[in-house]
Amino acid sequence: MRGRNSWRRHIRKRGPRSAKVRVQNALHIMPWVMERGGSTVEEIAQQFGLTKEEVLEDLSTAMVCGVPPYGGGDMIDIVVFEDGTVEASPSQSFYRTLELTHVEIFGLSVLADAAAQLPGMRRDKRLASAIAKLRDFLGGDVVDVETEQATYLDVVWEAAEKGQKLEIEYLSPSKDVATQRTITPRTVFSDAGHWYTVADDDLSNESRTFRIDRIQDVRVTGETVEIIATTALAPLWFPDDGTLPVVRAHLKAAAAWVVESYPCRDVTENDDGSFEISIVVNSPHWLGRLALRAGSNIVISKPVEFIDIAQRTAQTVLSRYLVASESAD
Amino acid sequence: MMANSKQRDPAERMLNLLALLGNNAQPQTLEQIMDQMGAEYGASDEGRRTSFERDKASLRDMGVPISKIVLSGDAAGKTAYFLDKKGYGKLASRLTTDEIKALQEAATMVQIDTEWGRRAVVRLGGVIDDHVGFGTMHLGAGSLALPELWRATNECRVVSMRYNAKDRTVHPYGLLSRDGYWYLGAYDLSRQEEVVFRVDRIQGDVRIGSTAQAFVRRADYKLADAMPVDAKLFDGASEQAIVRIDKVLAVTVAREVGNSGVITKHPNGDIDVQVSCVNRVAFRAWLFAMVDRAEVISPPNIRQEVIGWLNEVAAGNR
Repeated sequence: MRGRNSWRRHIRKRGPRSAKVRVQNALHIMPWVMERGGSTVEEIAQQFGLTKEEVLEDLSTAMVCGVPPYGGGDMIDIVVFEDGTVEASPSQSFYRTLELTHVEIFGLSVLADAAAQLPGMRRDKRLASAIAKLRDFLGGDVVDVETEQATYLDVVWEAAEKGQKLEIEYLSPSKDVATQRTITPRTVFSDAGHWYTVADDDLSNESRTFRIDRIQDVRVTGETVEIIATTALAPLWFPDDGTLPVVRAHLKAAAAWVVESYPCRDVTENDDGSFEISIVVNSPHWLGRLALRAGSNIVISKPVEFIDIAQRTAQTVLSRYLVASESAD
Repeated sequence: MMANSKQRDPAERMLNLLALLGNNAQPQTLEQIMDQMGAEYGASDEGRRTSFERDKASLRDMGVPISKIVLSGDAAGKTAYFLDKKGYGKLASRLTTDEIKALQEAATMVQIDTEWGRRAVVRLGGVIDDHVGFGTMHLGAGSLALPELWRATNECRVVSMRYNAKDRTVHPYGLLSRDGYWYLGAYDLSRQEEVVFRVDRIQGDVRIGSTAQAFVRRADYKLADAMPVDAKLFDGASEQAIVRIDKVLAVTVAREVGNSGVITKHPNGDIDVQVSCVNRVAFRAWLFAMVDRAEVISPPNIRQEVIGWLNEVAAGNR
């Protein structure tokens, strides 16, 4: 038998939350439970992004409330059973869904706009119609999300979905080489504006992350393999396993984009807007490219073999211009 | 016991107030409310009034549609409060089950670093299924400035903020997400022009003006067009350079500049492309990202400028 409200002993305080937050949660949870005719603490926690303890605390607050004189029949009728089942009787004051907050509507607009650019969702009439209603409700286009539309995104996405092997020509700017390889895409994800696939790579016999816009050409081999259920994860840009060199550098404020664009560590911002950073170096070519782009706004202090990498890279590029000029003469 | 023993918890007091308003068919004056809940609001009239106003404001801020009317008859001139049923869930009532289902699917495939969007979907009646998926879009939208700017935009309210070490006052026109960054399209009152600001470079809090200062957005303003597609064009005019690209990078660059940007295809696979170089910082970043796989061919002044930059770096002029 389920013990009515005996769950109370399980409440564990995780730190103070404001009265407003607790009331807001209760006002969101109650109509949701009433609409469904019941739910569980676990399901509520998962749906509303709360911990089970927070759900219990918020429901606990609500169930001791009601109308004067606060007798048995005057209270909000919510029951939480020991097995986590939640029941709530429809209440005149609490069964209606509140309007979404501005924070929630913003989040919803972003989700919808972004999803509309995903393969498989681009032509989804239901989503297009929801977005049109959102725009109408908000009075115009106040959020505009545009993501990279990599040429081969759809092909790679479909391959991940169906377990297809692909032959690709892949450009690796960090090593300045293009390679032919056969890959089996497992997951596809976007991060910081670019699309990537984590794929089984026949060339290295390892799982590798490929930036999809760097795929120069692709061919569907027709060979399929078993689909492995896995979750798309953000990339680990540079394998920071202690085997790669770490550069220490001073960045002027004008090169703040380096901090924003690359996974720097031990970052210290100075009063004048400049930075002291450490960064893992994937390849000397990559570092030379970065140093050249930053120009005089980066000063590498160690290790010694990379101190003059900007000069050396500039000389390499300069030699191309000089050769061309001599040919013209 | 119950409410009286819990009277000092503002959360319970707010829920009691809401229950009271919801359970009464007639609007309730402050006196009527205090007759029933006085013990919860304390002893002094002033303290009661202050606490009531605070609770009312908090509930309204959460979206509870507490409205007021001025009574006539015996209670003429008195203000009374009620829950306006028309103020509940207007958006939810407009969306069909299929549309909510599509938003539900969107919420499982897009991550925005916060629960805001997912929670909205749940509150609209959707169910989030955290299935293992092979495809995910990550779009960082965790900055608290974003929903504030969004609200200011939506309500046409003036925004004051500090940006690049200067105080700015702007009319916000909309938020754009491009290449992993958020931008605010706005009219800058001090510069008297439309400007695009990068949101993560706003220093400190954004301050939002009152609705009394509401502005009118230019009728033909198109948010999607607010930001130049090509960063090299940021400063507006159209100075062009012709750049030779090695065959190794030809496919990628041709894709980037489009067919119209490729002006010559060489037999060895190299291509010549025409690109804007108005914004020299962006142009330099783009050009040097290709290291010695790209070379400015013309015009001569831009080529000389690039050689000058390279000489400067090669000489270690810092």
